[in-house]
Amino acid sequence: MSPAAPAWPTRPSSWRCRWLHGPAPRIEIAAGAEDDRLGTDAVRVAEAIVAADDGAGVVVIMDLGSAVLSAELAVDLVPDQGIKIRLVSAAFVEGIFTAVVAAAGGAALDVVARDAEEALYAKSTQLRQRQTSTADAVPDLSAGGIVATATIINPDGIHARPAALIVGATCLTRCAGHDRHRDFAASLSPQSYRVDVAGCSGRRHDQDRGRWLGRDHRG
Amino acid sequence: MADAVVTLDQLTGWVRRFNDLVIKNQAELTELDSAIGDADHGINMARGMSAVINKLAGDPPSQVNELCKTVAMTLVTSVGGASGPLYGTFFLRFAGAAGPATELDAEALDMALRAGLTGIVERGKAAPGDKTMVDALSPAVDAMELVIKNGGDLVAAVAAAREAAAAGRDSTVPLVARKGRASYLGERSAGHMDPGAASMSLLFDALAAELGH
Repeated sequence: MSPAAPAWPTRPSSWRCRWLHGPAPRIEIAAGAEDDRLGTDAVRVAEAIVAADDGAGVVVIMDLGSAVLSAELAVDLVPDQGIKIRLVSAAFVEGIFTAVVAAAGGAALDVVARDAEEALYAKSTQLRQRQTSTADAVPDLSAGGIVATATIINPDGIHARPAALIVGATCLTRCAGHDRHRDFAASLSPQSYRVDVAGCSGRRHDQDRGRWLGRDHRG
Repeated sequence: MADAVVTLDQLTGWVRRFNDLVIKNQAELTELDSAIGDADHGINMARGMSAVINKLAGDPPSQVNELCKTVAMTLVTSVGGASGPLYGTFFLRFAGAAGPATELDAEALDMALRAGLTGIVERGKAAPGDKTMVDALSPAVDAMELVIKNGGDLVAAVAAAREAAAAGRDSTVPLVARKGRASYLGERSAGHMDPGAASMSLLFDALAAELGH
């Protein structure tokens, strides 16, 4: 969790996710130690994990040093050991941004975690001209159904806000009669030149597939 | 006659003496941490242990696991730095191994310390030689076990643990740090004592002092 600073919001209601295009996921902050000193408090982190969970699990993003140890201890301290928790080794800023976008888009816990971990890729690609991605663009939908993938490419690059728009627009499309079990996994790809949107499984997937594949994907 | 057990009162005394030693050596611990850390180990431990003493005064425990759990959770919430979760884990695991007892014999004390060591190693992922508190704690627990195995009594076992912790602390001086903030310094961490090992050796000084050594 980030070192405490006087301007750092301590309650999620003071967050304004203006760049989100969908319902914001629960975000809890557990920054600072007692009296908002620099440092971390595993008990605070555990309380934040419990507060953040709404059944789908919690991704925990931390900065460095004691934050990592506190997050690991917090997992042991959480009273409900049924809460699914993923401690993510993500770049702090990029990881938070990517995780929030993915979660707002309805991505499953492990997809959110994966995307956050790979969030630094855009910057490293820009700076080092790396050509290949280690990201697996297609999430595992091994439960069955049809998996369809669309790759939206803009040769000029897709900036973060438009990428978030695409993710939000696609993920908020409901599978008819299956809004509970939608398995959309739209990831804000770490490459930042493409947004990968994949998946929808359900009984009426053929119609749903047709519906979202019918969108204009030209960049 | 040597004591066969360490009582809850003595273990509480151990915690008080540790607090006294940490406060007395606060500046030195911070100075060690200035050389190879972020210059707050003494301050953090003093604050944490003071909070422990206050908490115990307001809510005296009636069992060993209660005592150590209170120490653990108070350190976790008041230290702030990495020592919070590390010492916190140590005392939590100690509490778990000791259980709802009001006294511990040599074997039980050793098992509780061993559980604490295992906890710190799992939490911090450090091994002996990485230049951390494990370099004081691990030889201390080993030394204690050896004395017990050879038929020595509890006081002798704790004395051996204290000696081994001090030697382990001293052995960190030439090491290159492989864990924690000091590891960012690489080779430049050599030539400085590890502050975590220093505070850990104080823990065994306190235990030995409580048992009259």
